[in-house]
Amino acid sequence: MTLLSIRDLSIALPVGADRLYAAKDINFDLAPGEILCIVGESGSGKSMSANAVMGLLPQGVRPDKGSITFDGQSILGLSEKEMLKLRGSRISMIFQEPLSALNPLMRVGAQIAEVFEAHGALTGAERRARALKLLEEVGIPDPEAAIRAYPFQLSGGQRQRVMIAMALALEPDILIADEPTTALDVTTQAQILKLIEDLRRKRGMAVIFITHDFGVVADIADRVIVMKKGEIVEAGPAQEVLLKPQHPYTRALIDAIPRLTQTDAPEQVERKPLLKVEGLQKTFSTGSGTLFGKRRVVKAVQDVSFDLYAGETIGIVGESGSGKSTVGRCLVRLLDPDGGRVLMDGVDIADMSGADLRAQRRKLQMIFQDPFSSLNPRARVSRILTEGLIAYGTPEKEAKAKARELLELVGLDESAMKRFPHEFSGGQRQRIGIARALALEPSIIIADEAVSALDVSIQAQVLDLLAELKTRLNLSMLFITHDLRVAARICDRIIVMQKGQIVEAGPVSKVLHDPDTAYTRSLLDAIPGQEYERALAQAE
Amino acid sequence: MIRFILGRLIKAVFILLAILVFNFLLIHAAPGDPAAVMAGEAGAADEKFLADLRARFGLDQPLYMQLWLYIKGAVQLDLGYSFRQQMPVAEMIGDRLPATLLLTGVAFVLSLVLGVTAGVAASARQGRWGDTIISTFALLFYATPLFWVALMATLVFSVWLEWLPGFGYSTIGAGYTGMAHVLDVAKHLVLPATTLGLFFTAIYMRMTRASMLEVSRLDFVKTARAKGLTRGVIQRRHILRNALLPVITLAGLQAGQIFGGAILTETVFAWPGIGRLMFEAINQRDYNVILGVFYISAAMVLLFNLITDVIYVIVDPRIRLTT
Repeated sequence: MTLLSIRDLSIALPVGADRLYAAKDINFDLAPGEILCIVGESGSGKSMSANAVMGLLPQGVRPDKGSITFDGQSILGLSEKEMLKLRGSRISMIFQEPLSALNPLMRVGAQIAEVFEAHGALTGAERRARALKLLEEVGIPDPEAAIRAYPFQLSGGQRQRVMIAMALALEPDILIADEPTTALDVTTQAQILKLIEDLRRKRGMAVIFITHDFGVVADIADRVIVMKKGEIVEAGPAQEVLLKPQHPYTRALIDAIPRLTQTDAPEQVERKPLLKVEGLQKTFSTGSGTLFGKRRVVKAVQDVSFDLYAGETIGIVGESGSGKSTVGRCLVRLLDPDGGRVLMDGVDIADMSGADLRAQRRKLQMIFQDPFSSLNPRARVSRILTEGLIAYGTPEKEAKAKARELLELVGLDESAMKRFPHEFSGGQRQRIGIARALALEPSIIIADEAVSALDVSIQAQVLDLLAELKTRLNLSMLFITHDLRVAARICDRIIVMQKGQIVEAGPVSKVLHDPDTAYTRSLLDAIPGQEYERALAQAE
Repeated sequence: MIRFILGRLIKAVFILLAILVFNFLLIHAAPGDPAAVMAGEAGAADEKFLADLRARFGLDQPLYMQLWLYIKGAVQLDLGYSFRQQMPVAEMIGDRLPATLLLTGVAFVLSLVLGVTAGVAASARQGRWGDTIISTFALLFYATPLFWVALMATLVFSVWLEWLPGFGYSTIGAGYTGMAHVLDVAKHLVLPATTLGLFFTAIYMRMTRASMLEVSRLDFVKTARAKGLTRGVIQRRHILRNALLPVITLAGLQAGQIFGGAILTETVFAWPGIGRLMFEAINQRDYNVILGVFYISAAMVLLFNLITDVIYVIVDPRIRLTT
């Protein structure tokens, strides 16, 4: 029995887009209670295909041919009014960004009640009671408080639970989940995946799960569809696609997954600390504590100490809010630490200022997470790369020559100099970000979630590039990430942070395979796709 | 909330004092001696007469003493004495303030309601005829100078069509009372209020339209659609509420400006408000009146800013609950 069946569906893009079809000749069926994963990199058309089922395609994008049949009814022919009846009641959807997906000005309870209102179900008081029950069902700790809360008062994971509660309100037959865990950290991701799995089992609801993460696929999928540039390249039961991929593209994607077990023996590094961090402290407070506002204090970094040796890569891992990014920002002095010492070659840079700080600062450079917002959109690449050099007194001509060398070093063509950031893909932009960081010939690179926003195959390329540059230029690196797989791939040592403090530190093989603390253990357990990884290792 | 308002009020008092001092020094830095102007107009200008005048109005005191006396008076709402009109300044302003508040208040509400409505209507018809027509009118009002609109409005509605009175606050000598008076004032109010409000209507319309379109692309609008809500509900409940935030900020800033902008309108329509009082005072170098009007204007701007902030806090829970 099939619940949803898509036949020869093609979705046309507006004239002038980079290709004719967002998705072409899509065919698949969905059975009740089944979890179907659609995997692909950004731009593969996976979201568009799912949006077409909801009738929620962006303006100018429309289904060109083919059919979508839901419960015996052809969806593409339905009027907007008939679609409204399906949306939210029989097919519902959750999205990637749980913060922006909720109306910031409405209370959570009202946003859930709205679903009933839209479909004329229940009365006022019943709606509230039902919303409360839903919040309880999706595992929100204090439903009574949450129902009155505004979205910004909830954590990322809780917001996604609210989204799920909303989607489940009218017990839909199909839940479409568009990258629902991509923006969450690993432990929260594990909880949300478990929740979706439980609900599916309890309610016999079918799920279309869109993701780019094969680990997630391995943990929850019954069947898998792999998409590339708008076309399905491979489809089949999860076990088959994951363990015996037929198409070379699928194989390449699977090979690109960073393996936890793939830890190289740490290189023999010179035992000379390049950077010594001693008792670093940073406290954030909002409000002045006087008549003008209540004071709120967050101890973001508490008493953090570690040494970074020449040629070494340390990974700082932790959940969001653990203070790992704050540490990085304090070191490059984007934030001023409240206490402690940061010794660079024996000089304390923690409370330097003015010319002294500027002189030291070029030795520490940073690579940021978002390759889209970390480059000035109005500046050409040549300016992005030479700006720092010129600020430190390099003549413009020399700086330009240097910029060209850097582009070659990060694997980009010289012609990139004249172009603007928006003309590059995410991976290429991150390469520009790396070139910019290297321009000042730093001895230490601080990479803050540098590959988290990239597709897995691009991520692998950028990680390889970083590893290669590190050996070639004898760099030390501080690699801040929430992704333990990535940390395993590139780091020599790992520091685990929780609530502003270091809970564990040690060599990669020790921390990832034989951790001392329960917290690290829980982080490791939350990594998706571990069984799959073992199965893969056995198959090889 | 009360704490928030109280805190803002205390800040406002200090700002007002600073403005008072600054205005005072600025006026006294300007060339020209009010005593000489007065004496000149009186036709007699011997030294003794001038010295007498200065002594009478305290102009012979050192500047800091004058400032101190002025501040002391201003705190007790005594804004000094108009040498020209032979009247206390506070009383003069008190006479004129209601007319100005009526005019600017009506113009403000009118422009906000019209602007937001037109903006919502235009955004719902983005790129179609309705949008083009509304946007064209907005651009026209935005680009046309206020005084020209005022003169044309008088010409058309008052002189040619004789629908509405072209100037004044009420019909002089008619002696209306009760409802008849209210109706009379309302009739007089139509042209000046519309003229004053048109420019701002255009601004609010453009702002609302842009803001609506921007918000309609946000993720939560997609969530709302995925819930199966109708277009109208999504527009009202989800898009409009969020789109209004920048409009509120702008309206708050301009509530103060609309007060200053009234000078022109009041002059053209002979509306007996603060703007005209100031215009006359500047011509006559009536320093105390000018200072008094500045003082009241500054107080109004501060008050409007405070009101805006309070509204913002009510509308946006993120601000209410984090400050």
